[in-house]
Amino acid sequence: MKKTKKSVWLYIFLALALALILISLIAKEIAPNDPNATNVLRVGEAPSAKFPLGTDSLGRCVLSRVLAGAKTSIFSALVLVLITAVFGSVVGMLCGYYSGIADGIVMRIIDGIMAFPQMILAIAVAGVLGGGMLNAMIALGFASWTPYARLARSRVISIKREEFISAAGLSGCSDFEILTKYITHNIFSSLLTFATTQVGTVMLGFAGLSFLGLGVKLPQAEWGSMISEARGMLATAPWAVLYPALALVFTVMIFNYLGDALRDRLDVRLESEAKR
Amino acid sequence: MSILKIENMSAGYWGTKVLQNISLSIEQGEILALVGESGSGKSTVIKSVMGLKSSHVKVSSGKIIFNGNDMLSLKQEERRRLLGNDLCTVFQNPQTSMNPIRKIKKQFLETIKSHKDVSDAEALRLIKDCFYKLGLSDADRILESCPFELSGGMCQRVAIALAMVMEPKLILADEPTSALDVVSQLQVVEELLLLKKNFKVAVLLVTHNIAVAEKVADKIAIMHAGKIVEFGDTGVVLGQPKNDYTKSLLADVPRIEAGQREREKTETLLEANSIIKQYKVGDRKVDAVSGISFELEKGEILGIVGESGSGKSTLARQLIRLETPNEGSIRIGTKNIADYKKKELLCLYTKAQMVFQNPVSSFDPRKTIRSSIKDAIKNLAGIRQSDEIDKRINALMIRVGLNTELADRYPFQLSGGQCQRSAIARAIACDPQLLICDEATSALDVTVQAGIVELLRSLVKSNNMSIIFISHDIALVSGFCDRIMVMKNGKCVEYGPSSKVIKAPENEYTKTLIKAASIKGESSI
Repeated sequence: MKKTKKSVWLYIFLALALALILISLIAKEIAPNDPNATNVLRVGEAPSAKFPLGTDSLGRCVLSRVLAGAKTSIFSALVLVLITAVFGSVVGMLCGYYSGIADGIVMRIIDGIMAFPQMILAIAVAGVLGGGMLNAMIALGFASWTPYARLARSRVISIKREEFISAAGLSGCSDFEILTKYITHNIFSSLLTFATTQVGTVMLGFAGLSFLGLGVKLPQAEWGSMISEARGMLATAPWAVLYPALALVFTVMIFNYLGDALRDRLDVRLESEAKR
Repeated sequence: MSILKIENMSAGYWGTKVLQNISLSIEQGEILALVGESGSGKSTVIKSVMGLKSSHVKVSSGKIIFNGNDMLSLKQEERRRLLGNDLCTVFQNPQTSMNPIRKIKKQFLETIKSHKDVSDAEALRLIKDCFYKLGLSDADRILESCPFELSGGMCQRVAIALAMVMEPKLILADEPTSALDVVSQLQVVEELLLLKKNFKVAVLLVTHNIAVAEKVADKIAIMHAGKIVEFGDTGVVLGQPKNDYTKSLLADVPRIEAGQREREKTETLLEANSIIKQYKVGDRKVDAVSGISFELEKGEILGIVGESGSGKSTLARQLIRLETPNEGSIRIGTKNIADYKKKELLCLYTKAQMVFQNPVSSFDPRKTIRSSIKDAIKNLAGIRQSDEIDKRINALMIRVGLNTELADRYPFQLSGGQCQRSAIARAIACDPQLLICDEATSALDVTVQAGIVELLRSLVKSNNMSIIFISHDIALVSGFCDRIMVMKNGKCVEYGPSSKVIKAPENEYTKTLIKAASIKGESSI
């Protein structure tokens, strides 16, 4: 009973997340106006039939820009999470499996990186590299692979002492085979869950960098930079801030809930397996 | 009059019936042993009598009469007053059933004061009186200690004293000897006998250890699948069992045997020379295995016996190079196993294999049995065609007495015995000359254990395989192995042909082990 209820939530959030991705893919086609077309005569216009969510400080259609921004925000976050998750997990797995001096060195480096607040570090790196989406990704990725390495390492350390790993070794499996065939699929669910919850965090990171002018190059639409640009007109045209902010909040929430639902679902499966 | 009378009780958890029509009675000053395999419902009987809400047991029908009270119609509060006063419990693991960081004295005072309005001095007198009757000398030292400062056996004796201090009418003891080593087990058994003699208290003793039951119990009830299949005087039930299940249970209990199968001397397969393995604990080095030497012939079965922590498993891991010893050499066939380079280890694994203690956790939980065995065949036997591999797997499953369809299941879908047979199938996939069984039957019930031992015997016969069989049960080893090595604290204290070790043990520790296992010739399930 409980399990079906949990599964329902998982499917709902999965559907919402896929819908967001789909919308961001066809943003160009469904946008009512050109997201970059400025019009000085229609600056800060209230929502109307032509501009359903109003216009911003340069007279651009807010709805079209929110849709266009979805692609930048969501895809850059997904790509970055994928890269950092794979890189961090591989590093963590190798450290956990082989331990030794290299493990010690890598872990101290990770401690060093984690000692700084992640956002401050990203701002510093982006400041050195300059603006632009690629540089923003590098800046955020610099620190965000470390939790995956930590998680993967601790999971591998606990699993590698299990009897079935010794048994696999005695069956003649090489280290590579043990890591890929026996360890990976046993730690995959916890890594996947963690990665899903990180999508929202990374998205906020991008928005933060863009807000500070260290993210996308103008006039490319991105939710963080849209909020930053429009904050001067908060009193006269609140919709220019409100809608990108709402889009950001909902997207982050959906990915976070998806991560939670995924964790619950995977936990339940493990539990029922153990019971049987 | 019966202190406790259970009539036609059925009980279960969340709608699943576990107990069916249980009827028992215990007289004052009597010990009743409830014996059966794991999962037979022994502990559920105790939980039903206690009726704690947190245990989730629901009694669906029948009666539990304790000292004239109908337990099932009592209110929670009235029941609580009985618990600890007239009805006490002793749990399996003494070190976890007491508060680990409070002194024993405080725990005793707390118990007494929650039931009786007495001064500290009066309470202390009660405690010391109780200790005296139970033969616990050195009361002052014990009272000033925390549970972790006492040995497991002493701790369990104190836990029994704690239960006795209120002079209850009935003690419920749930596997009180199972977590203890053999020597402490004996002490607790002695203490249970003292209880009967000095306090005239009734005891409901749940145990899977027939030896313990036989030594202390007046009456015995054999449980199987939630039912009591036989109930009567201990001597009668164990001496002339009527029920088929009781008969098979007793037949499968390993007994101390001094006999030995006839075997001609053959060439040496394995030679271990003064192996030392040390581990670092903080700043000091601890010898897990210190200076062990032995030989194993082809087709021979060597039993290694000792308590947990005696270094048996560590020794096993050295023999197959899962770990490397700090000193000493191990030769299998003609080659020293330290000489195998990492890439040549496959060669070693085709000669020697290992079966682990916990059958379920020795398989990857997310792989089917077939796919785990497949890896062994692919890597060790070098077979690549998948239909050839499948054929081989099916043959192996049949060889270990399993249906071939079971290979497509996940480990958690098999019973412990089936899983251990699969593990043996994987280990013999490439016909090794040496099989190391590390407590391979310890997690299994006695009937299943007997089946596995029979399988190993047949492997020795048909494949002329040598086996190193590690166990804590000297009775099991005595009937099965050609030679026995007894280990204690990482050292070999006795080594020789099993008939000699069993008939004429030289070491004191070996004598204790044999004595503990041979209470009227029976041993644990």
